[in-house]
Amino acid sequence: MIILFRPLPPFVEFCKVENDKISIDKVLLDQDGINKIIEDVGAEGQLEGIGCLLKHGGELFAETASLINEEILNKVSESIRLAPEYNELTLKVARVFFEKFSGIPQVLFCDTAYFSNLPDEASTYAVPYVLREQGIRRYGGYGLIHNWIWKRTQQYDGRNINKIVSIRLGDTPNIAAIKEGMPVETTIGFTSVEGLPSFQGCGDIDPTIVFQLNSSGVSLQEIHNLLSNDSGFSGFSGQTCHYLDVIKNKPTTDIFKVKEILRYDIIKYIGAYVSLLGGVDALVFSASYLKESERFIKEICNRLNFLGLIREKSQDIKSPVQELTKKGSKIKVLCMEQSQRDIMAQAVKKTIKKGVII
Amino acid sequence: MNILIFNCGSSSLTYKVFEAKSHSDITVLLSGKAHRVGVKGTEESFMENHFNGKIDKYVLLIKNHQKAASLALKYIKSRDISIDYVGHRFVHGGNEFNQSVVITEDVLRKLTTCLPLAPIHNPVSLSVIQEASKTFPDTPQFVAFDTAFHSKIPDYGYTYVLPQRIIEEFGFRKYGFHGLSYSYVTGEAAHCLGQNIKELKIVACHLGTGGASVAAIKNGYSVDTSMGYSPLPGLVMSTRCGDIDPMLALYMMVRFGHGPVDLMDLLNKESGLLGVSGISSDIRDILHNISGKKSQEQLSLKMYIQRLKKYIGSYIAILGGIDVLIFTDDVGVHSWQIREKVCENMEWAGIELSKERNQTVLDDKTCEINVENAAVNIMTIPTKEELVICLEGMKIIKGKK
Repeated sequence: MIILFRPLPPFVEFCKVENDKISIDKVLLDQDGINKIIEDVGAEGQLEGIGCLLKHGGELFAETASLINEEILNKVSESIRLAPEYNELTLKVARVFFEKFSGIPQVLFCDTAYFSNLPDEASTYAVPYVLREQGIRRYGGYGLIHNWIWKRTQQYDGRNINKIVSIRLGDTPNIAAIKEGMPVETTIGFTSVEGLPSFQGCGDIDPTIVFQLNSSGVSLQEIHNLLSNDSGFSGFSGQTCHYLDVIKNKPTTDIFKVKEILRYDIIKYIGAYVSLLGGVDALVFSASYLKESERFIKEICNRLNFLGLIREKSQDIKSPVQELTKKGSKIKVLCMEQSQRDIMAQAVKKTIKKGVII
Repeated sequence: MNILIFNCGSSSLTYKVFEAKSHSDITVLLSGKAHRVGVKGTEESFMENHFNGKIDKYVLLIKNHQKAASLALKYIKSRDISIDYVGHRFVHGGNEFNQSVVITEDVLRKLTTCLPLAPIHNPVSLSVIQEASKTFPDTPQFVAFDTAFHSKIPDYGYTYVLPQRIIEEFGFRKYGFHGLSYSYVTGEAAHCLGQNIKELKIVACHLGTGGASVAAIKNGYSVDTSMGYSPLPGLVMSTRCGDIDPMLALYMMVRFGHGPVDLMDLLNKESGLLGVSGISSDIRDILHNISGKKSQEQLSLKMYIQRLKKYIGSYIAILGGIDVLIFTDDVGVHSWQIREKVCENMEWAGIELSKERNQTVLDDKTCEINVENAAVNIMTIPTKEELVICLEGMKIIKGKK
């Protein structure tokens, strides 16, 4: 059995993988919650490995996966200031289980590490050097997924795919441009508020808005909540609205508007990244809910025909890796089912087998 | 009919008197420019006037735009030129104005409500309007707006994904700027190519020495543009940061204790090329010094190019292709290096620049700089904002009669 933890403030998502069975639970990290997890894990002998997700590692982590030890935990502790709500949870859960089950392999996954290789012109904000010196830069996010997507494209057709735009659909949709395995650009910036609108985040807005709100008497804390928790799909439509609600059939007028905006913004970013890459070999859409996303993906592709992509007529998404374009299409469109949990579980399993991080 | 046009820049005032016989027969009778208006610096402000092939320049203190306008008006009077209409550029018309209008009491009142939308530009334009009405109390005046050309951007293009009550309360949305310039250069491009503007997909880059933006144009109207609610977002500009994570603005206030005004100064006046290169806000200086291989200068240039390439790419995507790529304003027309770098590796979109043509562009004429038989026409077009304002005025005056 392996267990996985992902921060989901104020909870921690606790995921148990046994053979091919997965159970998922949300737990508060108080003493009761911790006891509950330990009880659930059962006798020590059954537990083979642990994976913990660190959402934001800043400049402290350049490796996507590391074996947890004191030094790594210290770095996690140092990273708290970058995303306090999330990283505190990761530190707490990682420390508790490191101390409790010190004999088994424990892996820390850092979701920003992949983007620590962004070129300077992509990671830099055009603000004075004194500020950039203090760690103000684009960190990106969801690196585990984009890195994994790149590897899958190489398994699929490594000879012909060198430049991809990886589009991840979900509650925090985001896009990365990747060339020969290295990230070139990504939509998530200093925080995951930048880029595409999300479940609760506003996405790209004019920064003057922050100034306008503050000078009208809205406090900084209120603005923080407004942009990161009260905007996006839910804030705009005035109801709890997840990605699946946005793309479903027959949405309300407000949700339909959100869908139009999201689709439009995705098309803009695809264009922007194709431009940076100087052309593209494959557009790769990935989602945990791939089948449900089919229509949305096709709507996006319909507007990108000019790029030279030729779709297979009435091609449906049937398998976890599905090509929507015909043989001979200048640009491939690939769809991949993906879940961060599975990626983490696979990596932990490999680590158990080999005894080292691969 | 003689039409006097005022065009306020952030630290300059240009004026022109056009003699307009018809839409196609418009000549400049008199023109001038006040330089370094209200600038505190080592170099002095000065006024220049062009009349009958003669230029006269004189140095004097020009403490604000109103003073500059009064100097221009005095000069026009002294030459005994009659004025039938006075037209003004107004940067931000907000939701109140989506087309040019003749100034009335009611319009003046509405213009006043637009002042906070462009706190640097709008009050200055209003002061010039007031100065002109003192000199020509009985002459009709009109205003043309930089935001009007963008008023047909679809809602999914202008909407920020904030709670709708906040959007309504504050009027937050993308407005866009440089509309008068885009209006002129797209019309000029269609005219030169002998094509109907309604059938062209155009991406236009207005690259000024101060502000800069990009617009996507379809059916003769802007469908998206890189500036937003204010002229801050979008491209990396001389001293404006362009696109940043909005949370960064908050973070700087919390972490470094910047007040809102300090923060706006920092992002508007100390960022952009100046903030990154650390040496200059002028892309021409940076290009000039680049051989020195100071890494921060290289970085600022790379960022300028990258950002521009991103916007061009995203606008090609929403237009579903591109027929014409336009470069305009000072940097757009004068800097062949920028155009060369931006057009590199753009064959995927059919953009192929002729390096030779690109290096022999004329400053005062529309030039085509793509290779022969390329899919996309690439053009440099010197912008003529004052002429557009004049034409706008003629449209509404005609409409009145």
